Amino acid sequence: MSVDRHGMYLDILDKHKGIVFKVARSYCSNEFDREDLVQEIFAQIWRSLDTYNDSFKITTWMYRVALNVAISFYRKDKIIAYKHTEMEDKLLSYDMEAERENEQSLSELYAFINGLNDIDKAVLLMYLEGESQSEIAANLDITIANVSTKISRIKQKLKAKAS
Amino acid sequence: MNLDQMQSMWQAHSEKLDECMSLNKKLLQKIQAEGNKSELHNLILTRAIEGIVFFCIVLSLGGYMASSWSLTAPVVSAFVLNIFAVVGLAGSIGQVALLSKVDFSKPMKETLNDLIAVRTHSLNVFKLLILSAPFYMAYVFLGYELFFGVDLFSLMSVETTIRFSVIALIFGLLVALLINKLKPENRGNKIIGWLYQEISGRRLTHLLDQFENMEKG
Repeated sequence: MSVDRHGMYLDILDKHKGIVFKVARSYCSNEFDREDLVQEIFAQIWRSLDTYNDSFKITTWMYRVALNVAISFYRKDKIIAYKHTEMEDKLLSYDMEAERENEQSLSELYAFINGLNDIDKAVLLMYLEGESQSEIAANLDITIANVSTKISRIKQKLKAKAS
Repeated sequence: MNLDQMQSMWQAHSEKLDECMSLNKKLLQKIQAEGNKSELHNLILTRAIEGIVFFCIVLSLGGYMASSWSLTAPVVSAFVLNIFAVVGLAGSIGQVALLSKVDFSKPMKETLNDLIAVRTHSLNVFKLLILSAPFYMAYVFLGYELFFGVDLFSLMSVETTIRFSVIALIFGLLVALLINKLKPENRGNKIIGWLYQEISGRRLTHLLDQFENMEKG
């Protein structure tokens, strides 16, 4: 493992760990599964590091990796459950007190995201991050019209939930 | 809450996360030192081990045929089974190659296509391997020869041979029917759906569903 590569890896994770946390929380409501997903995303970021080039924003690239891992992540077995009992530490720790006042609204927001299907979740997460529809389309490799339709449907769902 | 309000809340949440979240570098380094094993890595390793097992079978059967070369039922059985072992070996090598190509930094649809290629390949290998079912007597003939030193076929009466041949024919028809039905569009069927999940892995089947939903828009 080269020092430069390892240093770059730690630097990227440290600066953009929030992306991994948000994707993991959006795709895994179960805390134990979430920790596994975080670990899996970190492993794939390490594996894909050589494919990164400057033509992408690093955040866009990280979203790609994190979302691709999240949508392909599927585990519900006893071996993993056993592993949890051994793993007391977490890769990402977060002081929930900092958002105590917003916790209920945040929980509702994540609950809404959790209720969407995996592709819609990806669209919404990138939309919330401020990515343009063309960027979202490029990241998913679908048409802009498809992205637009999905966003309209998400808006309708949100409206229906509010009423 | 509308989407704009949601976006504002999300931005505020992102800023808080940057301020208050910490990365456990010690644990990360520990995981890396242990090989940073991802699910994909484990899947590649499993397929590689399968390949080694098939390779050993091919070598063993080849060795047996070379040492006992004659037109007897055990040797013919070893030959037939060796063909399927070679299919299994090629299948495992193909799986390792396809899995190694999976790149999670590609656009989502491309990554899904790579994973679906793995699934399709896995399914095709399964179809080829299941063709060995009508040759079930090959396992029996070879087993008797290896464990008891008996050429069972030479001891069988004509009636017994005909009976086993009919069973093999029925197996052949059932396998042909199963292979014909083993298509993505038939996953609604309970047995086919279960087989799909077992062969291609639950994760990939789940992915295929996601991909199909995306295509429907």
